[in-house]
Amino acid sequence: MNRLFLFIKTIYLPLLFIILEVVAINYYANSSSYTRAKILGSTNAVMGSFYKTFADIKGYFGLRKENRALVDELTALHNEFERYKAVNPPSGDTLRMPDSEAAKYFYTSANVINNTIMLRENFLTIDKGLYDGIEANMAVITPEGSIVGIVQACSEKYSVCMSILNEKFRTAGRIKGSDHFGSIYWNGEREDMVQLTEVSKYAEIAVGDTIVTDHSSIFPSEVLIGTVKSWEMVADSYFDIEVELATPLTSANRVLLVRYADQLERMMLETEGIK
Amino acid sequence: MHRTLGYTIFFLVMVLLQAFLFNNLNMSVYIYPLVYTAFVMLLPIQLPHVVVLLLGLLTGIAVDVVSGTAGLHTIASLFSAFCRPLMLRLSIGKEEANEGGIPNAGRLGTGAFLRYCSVFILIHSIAFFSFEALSWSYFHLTLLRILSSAAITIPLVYFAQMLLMAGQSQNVRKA
Repeated sequence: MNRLFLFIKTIYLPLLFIILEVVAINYYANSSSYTRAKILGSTNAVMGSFYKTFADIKGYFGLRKENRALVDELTALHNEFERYKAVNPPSGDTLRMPDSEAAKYFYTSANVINNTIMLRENFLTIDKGLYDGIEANMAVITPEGSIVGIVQACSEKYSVCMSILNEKFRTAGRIKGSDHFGSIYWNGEREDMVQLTEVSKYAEIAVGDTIVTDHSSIFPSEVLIGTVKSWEMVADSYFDIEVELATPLTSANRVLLVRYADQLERMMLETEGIK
Repeated sequence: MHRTLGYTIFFLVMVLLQAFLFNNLNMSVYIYPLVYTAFVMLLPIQLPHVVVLLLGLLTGIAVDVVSGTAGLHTIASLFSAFCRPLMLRLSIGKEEANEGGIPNAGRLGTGAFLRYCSVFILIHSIAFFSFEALSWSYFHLTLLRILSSAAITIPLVYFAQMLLMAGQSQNVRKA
């Protein structure tokens, strides 16, 4: 009996270590990116205001640049509005305003309060949540219209988005001006590069070609992803293209959230089609 | 007793710094300073191993919760906390390790402290980044991330230990 106690006394520490480590590894291995988003979401209920203060302080340093971008965007919208005015003469009853019910996409803006790039699975936290009408599977883009990520989980006041710099992130990408498309993913090597893979070998590619989103049930059509940097032919059957991101995610302080009005209908139809 | 208070504050400072500063540095994919390891590293030498292990668990869980990494920091912290006595004995010798005290630069000497600190951070980073990658296909990338992150973490932990030393000596003066 005494010996047994002595034995336990000598091995209880490694044993305790192994048990704790196995529990931790088990928890980690069974977690999905959704669990991680959930954890962040619930922490944000407590930490959110701290993050916000911190992000506010950081925000002051970029104000001048941000103002510049806002003015540019305003100018672009003015120009577009003028074009609408040109086709719709202001006199008479024939003025056709776009029906809000018929709009396909709804936009909201939010501030990024937490953003990582150095993990293999990176997430952004934004300061809007369920109360502001944010829900999972909304698209996240920069105000200039280039890709950032997808909303993954929401709490009342905050949402966690999977960033394009996340190895679980997938979306379709297309070479703008052609019909050749492929799958966008991130290989984790550089924070300013993503990969477009399985592009048809008949595609004509040039350095600097624009890559945009394609046929997504999340992103509006032709959201800017980046430009072609280099490519290689794999197994004589398809191209792997290195894409330089149009906007580096490290500088994403303000984002737009986009809800696709027909998303539910489309997703249901598509999953039914698979069955 | 004054030491417990000092360590509690140090724990909070380390976890909050990790959450608000080092998790948001975003300098490069390859640089992720794991500065919170300083807490387990600088616990008093004579503290029972089981307490060190449990404090490692606590640190890991706290950092996991604030960074949304389900269990990764816990895995690495448990591993480095478990290896701590071995690392102490290897870097400063068994006899000196038996004498106790806080394993900081003042107590161990700068050279021995840097040796201990580097080994500790390397072990911690190896556990963290290999479990994060969970695949051999990115082996060279993982290795690069371990080395570059550890290289940034070591000087930061050196500053952290000066912070703890300053805090502790103030406490002693008060007591």
